[in-house]
Amino acid sequence: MRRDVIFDCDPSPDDAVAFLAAIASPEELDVLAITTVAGNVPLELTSKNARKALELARRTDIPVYAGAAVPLVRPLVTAEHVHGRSGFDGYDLPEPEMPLRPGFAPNAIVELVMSRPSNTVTLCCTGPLTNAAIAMVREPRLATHLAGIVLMGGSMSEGGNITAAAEFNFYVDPEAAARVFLSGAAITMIPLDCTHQALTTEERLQLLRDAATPVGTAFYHLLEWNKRFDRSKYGWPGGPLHDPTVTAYLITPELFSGRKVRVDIECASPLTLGASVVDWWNVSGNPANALVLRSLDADAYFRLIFERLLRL
Amino acid sequence: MSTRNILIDTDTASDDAVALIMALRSPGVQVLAITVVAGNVGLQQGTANALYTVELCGSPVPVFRGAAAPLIRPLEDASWFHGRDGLGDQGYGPPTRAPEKEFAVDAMVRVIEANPGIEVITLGPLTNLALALRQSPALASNVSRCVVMGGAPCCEGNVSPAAEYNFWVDPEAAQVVLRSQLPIELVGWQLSRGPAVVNGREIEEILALGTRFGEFAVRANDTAAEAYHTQTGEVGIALPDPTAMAILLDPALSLVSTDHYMDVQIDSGITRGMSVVDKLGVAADPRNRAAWSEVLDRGRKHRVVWELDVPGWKKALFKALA
Repeated sequence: MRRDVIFDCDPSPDDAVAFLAAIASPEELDVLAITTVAGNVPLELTSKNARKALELARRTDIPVYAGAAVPLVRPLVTAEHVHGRSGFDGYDLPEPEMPLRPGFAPNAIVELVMSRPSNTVTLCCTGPLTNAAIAMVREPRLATHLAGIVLMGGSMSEGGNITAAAEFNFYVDPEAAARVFLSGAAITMIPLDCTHQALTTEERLQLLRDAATPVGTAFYHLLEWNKRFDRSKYGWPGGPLHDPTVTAYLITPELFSGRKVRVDIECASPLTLGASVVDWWNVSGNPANALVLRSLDADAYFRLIFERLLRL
Repeated sequence: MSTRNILIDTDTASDDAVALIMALRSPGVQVLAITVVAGNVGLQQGTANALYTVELCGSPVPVFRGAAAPLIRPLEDASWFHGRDGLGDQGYGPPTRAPEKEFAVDAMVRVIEANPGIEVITLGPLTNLALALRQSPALASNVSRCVVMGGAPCCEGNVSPAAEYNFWVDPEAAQVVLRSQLPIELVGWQLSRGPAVVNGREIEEILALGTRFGEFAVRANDTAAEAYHTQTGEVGIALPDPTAMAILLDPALSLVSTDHYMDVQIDSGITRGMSVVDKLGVAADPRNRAAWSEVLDRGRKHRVVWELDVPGWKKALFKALA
């Protein structure tokens, strides 16, 4: 069965791989729109990078809406230290010509979801959850009208990648993350515990290089550049390919395993701001609000995602 | 002098309704839009109350429905203060007009962008205005004055020892607004206390005006007056939103005001929603700078009104209800 999806993202290369792989999977997924948010880099750049990727893949028919330029409450924190100044460092793609669609991304999300029957559209979030939270404030029925939210974010026992306690997407907008987790939406959360098992090793990236297509070559270089940070900082053989786990889960959920649990987001303590507190053993007795995926079949994941990406 | 354009954001309950009457019956201003937010009562009730009040005044002003809950937290209304229907449970009928279809935040952005120099007044939680600032980052530059009824500057709160209701119920939104470039004049709840309370004799005088406005203003505040007495021991009707409206309409009613950096506590502990005013100018001291950096680096000073011209305020109220 084909599902309608919206990708809400802050494109660095892994966000782009996530939505391009989805666009290349028309039998399973229909990408209604891409909505951008400030995160890895400022909004202007994430909006530009989304369109660069679509033009590279010659899929300018997919609408792109720009959303929030700053988090719900806090000032923006970006991640140029990982993704470079442009968010797309490592391979020069031409400045995009396709325009952004008029309108504010959270409003577009509300329109696209509420104009369709309930339980049909899945919101895929690979950046800070600002747009999703604003959309939920605007339309209180949104959370339960969605088929679900599949998001890359948070961390359970992997520690944080921006502070000792927090994963980047949740740290940037903890209030938005808290709002989404309290919304009643059916959430699937893919934390660092899962994505850190999926490293862009030389052997895996070889697939992209060998394809020698414009898309393969561009993403080979972009991901190669991206992994320099993880290689030099952690000595890993590659960088984690975080965001396409969302797409892979939608296409082949069997690649993942997890548990339905209670997740709450810390919004107060400076030490643990944005930490996702996962009640794996249900010691709180609070009802589960998310399916948390803790592991994946990394080889099958890369085969799936790169095969889809190289269809473009 | 050309007509002043006004936008009113309100969680319409008993004192909001009186403030709406003051604005809609004021000859020098044109109310371009009324945007409603959930607060004192739920969004539907607040919208019905705004429409009822607008109809009472025979005004064609459009009324828009906005956020049904605070940015992050669930709504905790103040029906314990204003009555279940927010208007003292007097059994007022439903309005005949319907609200506009456009979402209040979209309307707010549209109206403010189309009317540079507009004056904005908020009488409820700041959810709508915070969303508008996120939707249109340059919004503040079009606003010449932004009167905010909210906060308990350098005094006790009315819903917790530390906080006033509008800031307490959506502290995150209040923080977004106070950290923005909007030229805010803060009218705290304390200005409507003590001598500013409409006392028993004045209530009789208002009723003796024999107008539908006076009758409505008094009756709609029945439960509020009772709750206020329980809360403070003071007798009469306290009208925080109308005092803010009076200052918007006639800036001379603000007798003492000074400009300060200020911020709102968004933690959930005993100071949730507290409006913290840097009255002595110590925020930039080395020991405080880290905690105040966002306000100092990206915010601006806002005006805090400390003293109200009480006779002038009462005169403005009577004039609006006559």
